[in-house]
Amino acid sequence: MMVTWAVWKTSIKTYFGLSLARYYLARRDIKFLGFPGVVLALAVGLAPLVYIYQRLLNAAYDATLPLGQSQVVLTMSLVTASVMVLFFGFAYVLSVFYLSTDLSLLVPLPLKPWQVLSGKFLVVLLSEYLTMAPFLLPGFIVFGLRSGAGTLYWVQALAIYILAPIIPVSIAAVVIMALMSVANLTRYKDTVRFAGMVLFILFILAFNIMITRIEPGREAEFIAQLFLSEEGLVVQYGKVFPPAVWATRALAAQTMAARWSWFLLFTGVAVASAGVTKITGQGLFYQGLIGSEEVRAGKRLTKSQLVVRSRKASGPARAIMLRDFRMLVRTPIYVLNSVAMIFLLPVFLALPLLLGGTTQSLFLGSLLDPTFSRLAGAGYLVVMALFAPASSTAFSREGRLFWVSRVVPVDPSTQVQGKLAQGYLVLLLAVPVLALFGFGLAGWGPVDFLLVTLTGLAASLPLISLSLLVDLLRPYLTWENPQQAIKQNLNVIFAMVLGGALVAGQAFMVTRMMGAGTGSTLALLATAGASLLLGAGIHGVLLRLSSVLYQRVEI
Amino acid sequence: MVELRGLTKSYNRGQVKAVDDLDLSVRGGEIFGFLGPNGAGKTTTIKMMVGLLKPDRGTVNIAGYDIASSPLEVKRRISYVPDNPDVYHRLTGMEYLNFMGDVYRVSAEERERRILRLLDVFALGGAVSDPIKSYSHGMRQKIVLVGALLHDPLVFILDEPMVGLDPRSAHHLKEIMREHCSLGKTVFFSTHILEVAEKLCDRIGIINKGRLIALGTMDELRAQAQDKQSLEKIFLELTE
Repeated sequence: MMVTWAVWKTSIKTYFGLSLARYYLARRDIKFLGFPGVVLALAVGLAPLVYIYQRLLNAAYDATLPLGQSQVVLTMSLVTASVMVLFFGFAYVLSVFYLSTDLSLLVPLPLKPWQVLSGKFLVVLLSEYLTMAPFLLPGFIVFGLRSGAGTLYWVQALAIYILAPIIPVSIAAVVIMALMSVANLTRYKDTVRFAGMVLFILFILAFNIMITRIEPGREAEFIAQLFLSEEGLVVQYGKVFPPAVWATRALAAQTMAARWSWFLLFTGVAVASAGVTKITGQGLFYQGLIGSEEVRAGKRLTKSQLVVRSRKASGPARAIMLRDFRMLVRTPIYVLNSVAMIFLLPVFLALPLLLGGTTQSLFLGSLLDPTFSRLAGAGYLVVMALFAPASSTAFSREGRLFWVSRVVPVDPSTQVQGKLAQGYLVLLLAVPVLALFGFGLAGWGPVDFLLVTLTGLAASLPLISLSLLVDLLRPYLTWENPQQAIKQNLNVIFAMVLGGALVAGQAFMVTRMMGAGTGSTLALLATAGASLLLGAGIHGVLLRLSSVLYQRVEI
Repeated sequence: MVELRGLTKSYNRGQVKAVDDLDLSVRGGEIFGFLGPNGAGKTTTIKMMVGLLKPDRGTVNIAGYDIASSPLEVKRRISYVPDNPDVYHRLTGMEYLNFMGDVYRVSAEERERRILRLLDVFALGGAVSDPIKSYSHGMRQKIVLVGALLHDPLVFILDEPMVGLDPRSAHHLKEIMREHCSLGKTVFFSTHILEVAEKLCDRIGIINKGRLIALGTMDELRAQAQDKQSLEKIFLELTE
């Protein structure tokens, strides 16, 4: 048991960076805030969604109370949470079980496969507690407070919260292990990760469309139909995944005996599913791991191809730009955050508009207005520069390989220029989308297109420069996988907040000028000019500081 | 060619002295082996020489330039091969080499000549269009070596360069080191493989607990030690 405990402790410490946080804390280094900071930022980011969700739950409680079915609030939360756990579970399990960097260290150790697996299982479980929290806790709290539940309810709710992800994670684990034992998915890990991310986006998109289709004031009716009707989610999901219904009954059955019976059934099945995972893992886990490091070889270059490619010389700034851009577009998590966003945002915006009711039609109509469409077009480029973290992680993404940038004989200011060009290169990917919107929908001429594009690019200069400055001031280089470089990087949030203030200033300038009777062309040009001046100022500071800041980084 | 004066570096707010008042001169045309037990301060010294770490005290002067005041002048004249050859996994070998050629401003003609020769020497021609993540440890070591040699550095600084290399590549690397020095250039490398140091180096420095405890040719080191049989015996005696 001691050995298993050691595996558990190490797995948790490694995955969540606890030892590193303690080390930073002991040294009074602000970096110890890394993981809690990310959790806090996520909590703040999710707060509006949780608020809407709890309003829906309260509405559902009110709607179902007269029917004596207010426990549907619990089922709703449990169903939503277990769907989320199962949905994320497959990606989590694949990533933690088969793509962790510590596997090459753990596998040769004198450990049974299930011992290694149990550490990984625990890590997924703990991650799922965080995933579940915004979906499950509001349901427990709304029902508990509204029904005036006693102490036993809260104790059982806590127990169910702890047990809830075990069954879906076990299902995901068994399926993934079975799949991996016959097909080595890790060879296609980038594709698998990207597919997972696209699925996630489609899920969010579907949720977005669903929410926009609810008519104001009729939320309760919508929920009743969605969750309670014969074809509703609860009934359907309850058939496929009965534990969600058992857990509801364990918390809200009429008699105490019934409650305990359902609770014991739920607990028993959770423990049994963990047992099945253990037995399956003992047999299958290592089978899927063997050969996971294999990589397919590419085509051999001919002598003449070698000659042509070895003569591709360019300047240092361009070399830095190309290196960074290539690394960015070849790393799925970077693509999703910095590139895919460019194409997805218009889709996110367009779909509800095209599917929606009167308000949306009005907004769609205003998009076709020449003045508004030009402002929206320039705004799109600016928003992309603000939200795509290509610049706010430009230094952090180098990670431990930052030593290369430190030892090459290229002045830091030249390197910064390469990174600025890389930021713009990513932003230029948005120009075809803008052209599609402008020429296809808004009826622009070439002059409009040129004006909007140049204004958008000029207005992005202070944002890109500011993002680079933020990242160079405190680059996060100690990440273990690229996901952390983006997701656990507070620079992304800092750059967005500071850049957001700049964007607000730009929007204020345009609206004030237009309010005072200035034409939109002049307002756009003036904003572009002011932004260029501001951007040049920030960029100047960045160049001036770059040498000192580069030297400060010790690897 | 390489002058280290009073070089000092501490960690944990001065509690651990990684390098302590190190004075060292390495001449042009010399292969210098830097030896020491684990944690003796070899990598820290090398990192200060290439500008990756800032010394607490002391100076690093290479080819007449101080790394603190003229970092770019120094960097143009050196190349560095780290102990861990993990470089950009998502670039192909050729993209990495072209990147190194660009940042060291190697002309297209020179680049073509050197890349073709070095790929041939290290038998990497077949893999150069593959992503680096598909390379073995030894292949990564070799692609880093090729990248480091592209601009024909005046001072070639290597941290444990033989680790992971197959015997043929190790042999070629030693030949390249000798060839480099025969042109009046300098090779400075750390190693744990005492046999390599004994056979290859013109002079050897042994560092222990951050201090240089022995310095000289093999004959001079033998003269300093009681047991004069091999470098291994000398090393064990001195670092006890």
